[in-house]
Amino acid sequence: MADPRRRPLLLRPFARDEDVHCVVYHVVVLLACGAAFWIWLHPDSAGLSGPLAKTAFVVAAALLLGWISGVDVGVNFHNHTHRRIFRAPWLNRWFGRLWTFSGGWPSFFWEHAHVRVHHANVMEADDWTLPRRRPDGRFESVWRYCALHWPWRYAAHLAHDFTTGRGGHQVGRRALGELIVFAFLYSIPFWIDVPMALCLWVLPHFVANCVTMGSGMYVQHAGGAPKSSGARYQHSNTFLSRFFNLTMFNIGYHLEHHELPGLHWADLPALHRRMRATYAQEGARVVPYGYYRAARIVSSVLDPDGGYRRFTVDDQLPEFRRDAPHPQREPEASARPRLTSRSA
Amino acid sequence: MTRTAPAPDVSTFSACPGPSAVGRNLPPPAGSLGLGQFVGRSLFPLLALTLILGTLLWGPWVTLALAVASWAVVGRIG
Repeated sequence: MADPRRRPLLLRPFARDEDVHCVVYHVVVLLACGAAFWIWLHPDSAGLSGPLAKTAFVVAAALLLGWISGVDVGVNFHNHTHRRIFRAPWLNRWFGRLWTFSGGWPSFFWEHAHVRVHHANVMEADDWTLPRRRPDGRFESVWRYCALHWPWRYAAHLAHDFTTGRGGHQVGRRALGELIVFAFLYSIPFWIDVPMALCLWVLPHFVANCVTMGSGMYVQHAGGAPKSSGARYQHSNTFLSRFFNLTMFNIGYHLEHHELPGLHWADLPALHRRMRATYAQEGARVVPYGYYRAARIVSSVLDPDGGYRRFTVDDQLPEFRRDAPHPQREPEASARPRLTSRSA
Repeated sequence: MTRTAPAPDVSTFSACPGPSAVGRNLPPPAGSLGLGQFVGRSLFPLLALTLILGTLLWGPWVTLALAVASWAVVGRIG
């Protein structure tokens, strides 16, 4: 292993060279927020002459800032919760706090929901981060999930977890401290201009959480089954769009990510290549596109059931479909020894 | 490029197992710090920043049209 002191100075704080991308992404998100604030505060320079023009700008900024700040937390910071990007613990802690406030989250809260609740119980009854199930086992409507989950269900579940000690010793005390840090950081735009903060800070965070992260969480696991059901590799969906994975830190390799959450995001495509035959043999859930198109399909207004069925059944790559002929598939495939993060 | 940093400690979270032998033996990703990779990874925030700053040139209505078009295009190809 190379001596870290031989790395370029700028890369030395990072655990892996590729993690520089995560910081660049977040800095550009903050710059975009700052640019929107500046334009709001200097309306004449951008032609925001009346309420209609201002509304057009707010809607555009909410779409753009909500999109990127949702990805910044739900994908970019998400990687950091599994595998810290810096070598120094204090830098990880403080950069984390500065990472998620621009997505409307205290870092500790998001980390708790994702790592301790979602990853530890994916698709099981205790995983309250995912959509609720209908009587037939399907996820509730994506529209209902996106409208009700953030912040309402999140707030109720987080309050319950932090007051009952789910998450470890003194989790409530730590959560309170992190909430105070978050409240301070989150209030900064309000000190400058309250209407600006509501339009270009709170509204984009609504888009980030309800639309970007909500639909992402939905399609990552829609149609899946928990490991406790005996279906070893059906808890998560994998998305193979090259464009999507290049621009989204390989988050499309979601089955791979849940199998090995500590694996660096840059290594996920290689893990997919290595495991592809096994996944095909065991009927993993794989589609050829990314989350964006998947979300568009499952959110079909005219034919919601058809959209859900298309995504969860029809669009699965034939190579991975359980009804596809496969010479190596055995009836009791799920009972064989498997690659797991602990046994491999 | 070769990986130059030791694998960081991922044991902070009990629910998050560390990389397996499979993970450690994976080949390093190629060109992980090239300019294209930078632009690619940060494509969406760079696009958002460009469109927001572009309001200074073309006004809010064009920005809105481009923002909606971006969502529509990415919803098809992404």
